[in-house]
Amino acid sequence: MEVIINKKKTRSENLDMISNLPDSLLIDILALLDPRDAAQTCILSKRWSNLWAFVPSLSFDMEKFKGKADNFNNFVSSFLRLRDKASDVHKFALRYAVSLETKFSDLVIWAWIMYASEHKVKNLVVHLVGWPCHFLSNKSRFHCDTLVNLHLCGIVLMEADDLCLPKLKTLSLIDVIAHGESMQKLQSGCPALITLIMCYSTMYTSNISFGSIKSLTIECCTLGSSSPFSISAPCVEYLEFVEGKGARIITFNDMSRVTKAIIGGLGEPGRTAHSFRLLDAIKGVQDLEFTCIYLEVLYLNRELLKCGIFNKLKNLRLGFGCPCQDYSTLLSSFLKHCPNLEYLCLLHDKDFCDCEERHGEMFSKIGHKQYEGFHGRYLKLVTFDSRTLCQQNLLPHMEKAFLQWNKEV
Amino acid sequence: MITLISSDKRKFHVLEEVANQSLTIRDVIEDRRGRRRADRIILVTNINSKIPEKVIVYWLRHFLMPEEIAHASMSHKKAEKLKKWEAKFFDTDIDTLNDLILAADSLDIPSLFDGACEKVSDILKNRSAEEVGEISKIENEFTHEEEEEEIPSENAWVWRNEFA
Repeated sequence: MEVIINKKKTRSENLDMISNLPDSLLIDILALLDPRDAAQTCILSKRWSNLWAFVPSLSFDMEKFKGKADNFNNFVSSFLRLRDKASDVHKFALRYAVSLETKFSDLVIWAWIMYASEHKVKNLVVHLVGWPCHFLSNKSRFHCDTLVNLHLCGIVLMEADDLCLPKLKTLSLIDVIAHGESMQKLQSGCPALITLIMCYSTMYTSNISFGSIKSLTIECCTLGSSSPFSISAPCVEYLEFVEGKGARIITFNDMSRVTKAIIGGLGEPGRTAHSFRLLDAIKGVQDLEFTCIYLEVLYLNRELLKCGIFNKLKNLRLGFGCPCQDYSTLLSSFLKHCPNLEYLCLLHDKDFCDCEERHGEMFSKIGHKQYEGFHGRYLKLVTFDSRTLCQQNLLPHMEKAFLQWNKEV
Repeated sequence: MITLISSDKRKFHVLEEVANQSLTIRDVIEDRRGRRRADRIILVTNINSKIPEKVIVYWLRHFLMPEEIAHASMSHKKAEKLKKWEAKFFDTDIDTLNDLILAADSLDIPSLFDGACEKVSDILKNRSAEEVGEISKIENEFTHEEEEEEIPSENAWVWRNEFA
């Protein structure tokens, strides 16, 4: 009945605590530090002199480095040259500020990526700031058998690029310019792809089909030409679509399997119609978040009338910038279409309006079932939440995406 | 209900569902399922009573707020609250953090492990090697010559720009 759940550990009061930890745990801690801070621990003691060389997760950030580009290049190259050759790199993240001075260092970057690729990298982040660069440099072929997550930011993809990533599951393209049919080629080079995220990217293509993808996020993507753009992704179960300012019209085909969706947009006059039209394509949805900052009620009403009933919808979050007077009209037209609703959450933009009283009125109306055509038989919970609904500022958003991703991996 | 006994013989009674957050304990319980009641006692020999206390507080907080909340509408505010609570929880001295890391590693509690490691790395972040040595009380066993000559020259590339 006695289980000793631990390795042996002796302790005296004066001994330093951190050295009680086994090497593997110390390496885990070092992995969370900036590579330079980690490498500097080499002078702490003999035991520490080599620990940094085994760190499997490397995040090089030029902005944190606070030095000249050349020094940064030297540092990264030396770090990679001196680290333990036999230990794998699980994660390689690079944030690189491209300026006139560093514009031609894409060959250097490519060498680092190849190093990571040779060391069985699973998660790769390449985040370029300031100057879009061609990802593959002069080589047009990138083959990596171990890569699972790829995050590209500020990169140009060419049609001739040949990416072969058989294990890739998650691909994020943020602020990426995809020329020609490069997206289509990417899709065929990544047969195992499950999650695709595209934010603030520019696509010069007219239609894309993603056979294997289950989770699709398209946020504020502008499209390089004015013709409509269609996406077919028959297996998608999770869909997030946020319309950007002045974005090209995107139509979605085959979205019947979607069970969870987030749809949002600025709702610019005259452009909102098609994000509403999307509602019609995802009628099987169970969990829906729908936000719109400047909403045109008439449009929504008309599209909702066409779109029929969400029979499976149980969880609905509705958010508007808060044109208070229109809120209850909208609510009533939405509720009519959700007979089996169980959880309703009203979101409002905390930067936009804080007229709590009006919202209280709306609440009590739901409580008293005063919305025509909505019986609320299954309704279990109604909540109210204020948060920032729309990130209109592009750069902080990307920053956030990068930080978030870094944390997740 | 299961009982954890620390190295200084203090007993901690915990609900099985709560302790299940430790994958090690979950496996042990699973192995012993259907046996005598005495088997529900788990001896955590090398952890003093301060740590199980903290670990259990952590478990309870997380048990009350499971990570996958069915209704996303509820999660936003609660997640923020939990974040604040965790920041306070980990705001402790480096010795306790080290014990927590060891405990989280051996009991296999991933979120506690990550949280504690992150906190330690936050403490070490942006400090010179001397400061790190001081904070973590690492004994420097290099000889004077090594310290003055060899090591800095071998490792010139890691130093701040003035040396690079």
